[in-house]
Amino acid sequence: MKQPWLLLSLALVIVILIAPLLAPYDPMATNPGEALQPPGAGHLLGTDALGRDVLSRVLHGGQRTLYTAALATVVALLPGVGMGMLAAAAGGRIDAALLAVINAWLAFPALLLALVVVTLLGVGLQQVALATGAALIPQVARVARTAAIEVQALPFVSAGRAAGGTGWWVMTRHVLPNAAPAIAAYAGVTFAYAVLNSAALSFLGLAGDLGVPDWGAMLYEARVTFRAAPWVSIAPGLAITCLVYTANRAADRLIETRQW
Amino acid sequence: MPLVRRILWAAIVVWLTATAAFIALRLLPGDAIAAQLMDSGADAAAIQARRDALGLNDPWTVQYIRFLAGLLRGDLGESLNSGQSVSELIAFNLGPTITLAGAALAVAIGLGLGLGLAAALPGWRIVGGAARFAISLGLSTPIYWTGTLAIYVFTVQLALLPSGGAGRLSQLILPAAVLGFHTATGVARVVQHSVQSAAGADFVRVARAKGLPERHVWLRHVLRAGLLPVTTVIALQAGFLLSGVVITEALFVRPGLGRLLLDATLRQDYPVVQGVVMLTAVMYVAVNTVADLLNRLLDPRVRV
Repeated sequence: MKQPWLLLSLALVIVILIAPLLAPYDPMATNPGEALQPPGAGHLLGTDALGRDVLSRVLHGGQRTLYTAALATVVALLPGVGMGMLAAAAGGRIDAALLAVINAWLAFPALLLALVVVTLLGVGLQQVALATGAALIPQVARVARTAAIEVQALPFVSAGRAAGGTGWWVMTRHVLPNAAPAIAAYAGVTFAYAVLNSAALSFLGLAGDLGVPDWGAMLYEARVTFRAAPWVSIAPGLAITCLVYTANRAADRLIETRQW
Repeated sequence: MPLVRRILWAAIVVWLTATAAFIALRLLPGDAIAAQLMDSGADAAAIQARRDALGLNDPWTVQYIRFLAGLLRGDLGESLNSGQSVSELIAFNLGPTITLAGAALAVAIGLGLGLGLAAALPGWRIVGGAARFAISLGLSTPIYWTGTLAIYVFTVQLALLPSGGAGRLSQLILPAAVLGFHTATGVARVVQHSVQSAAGADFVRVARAKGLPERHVWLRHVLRAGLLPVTTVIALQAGFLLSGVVITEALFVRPGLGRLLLDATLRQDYPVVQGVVMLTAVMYVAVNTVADLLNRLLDPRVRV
């Protein structure tokens, strides 16, 4: 068990994927007669303002949170790693120019950048994922650049060049595979940010009308009634915290073990 | 001249940000602004007149130069919704936001240093463990959720503090505490790592080998080196603070820049979004540049 938190995160992902099968009720079925019931025998986590079962909604909503955050992570990783590797490989002026772009990008606080993207592309789940991911690109680029520069200094890279390898070949066959563990560890951190930030955008009402909401949008809906029925807020918030906490711990652990 | 170079870079970053904001606005499907006006009941001739007045029919280069010139004069255009000047809207909303951000920053520095030191100092098993747990928890909990819980406990259950509005001190406590706590955990994590790594550094081993008392080693050597990055972290946390302000103001129904930005986003009021984003980018760059220069002043190792 060298990576307990990594296993736990994977287990959590599997649970979230099969969770809808475990839901006792239809997450969308309204029942005005049972509105705002506290947690109890009939509804383990209580009901919301429309009498919908909170447990079933949390179990269904996890998939959307996971989908949005995973999509955002991919959106952040692909261009981020590309930019970082390019900067490291090119060096000199191109590196300096890319670094300036990365820094300017970082100067945009993540949520503000996301709000701009949503202003341009409109409200929706994909837009939220794109906005969240776009804001995380510069951080990934910086980590990938540093990792690639470290690997490039190692002797086997010079050996690959000396053997007549082209720049592209050396980067994809030698540098990228050896920089991958550092990037993978940072992907965990990126995912944790993506969960928090995409849920924050949903909470601000930018995910639009979803049918079954994700956890952030559930918190947004629960805002109206949480004074009378705090359980409608507590369940999805706790779910977000668990997911982010395990992702963060798994990433920390990966980063620590890489250092030895 | 590191000072001149640093300021030049900051100016370039701000210019890149402004250009990105300009391009983003022009990338909009041509009639998005017209559609916006149509919703508010304008006819085709009025829209055309408006486009002319806004200068949207001029060539891009002219628009770009006019945009930059406007920025230099502090003219950020007009709101599409109310026709008010964006600079006025910002000036009107700046006060409550600065109050909130300032109070939250004070909480963040105090609490962040306390938590970070408690987590890093040796010999405090239980306190240190609790501090480390609080830090991880704060980094993993959504701010809008802690805020909701805080309102539930302090407003609904205990009826101690109001949950919304701005102006009175009692209305500031909850939002500043919530935003401050989340900012503090980011500060605390860096303080903890920095102090721990300073404690293992060679100059600390030398200090011990010289026979200095442990108290002296910690106060004069470990903490002095370990607390240096704090200025940088606090500057970096300014970005978090700016994002957090948007959420905190929405949650606690406070007037301010965050609310202005969010409302403008939902109504697609582009000039207002652009203006607020420009302002925050400038503030962020300024804070980071100052922190960088301060660091040079405090740490002889960074002076090149």
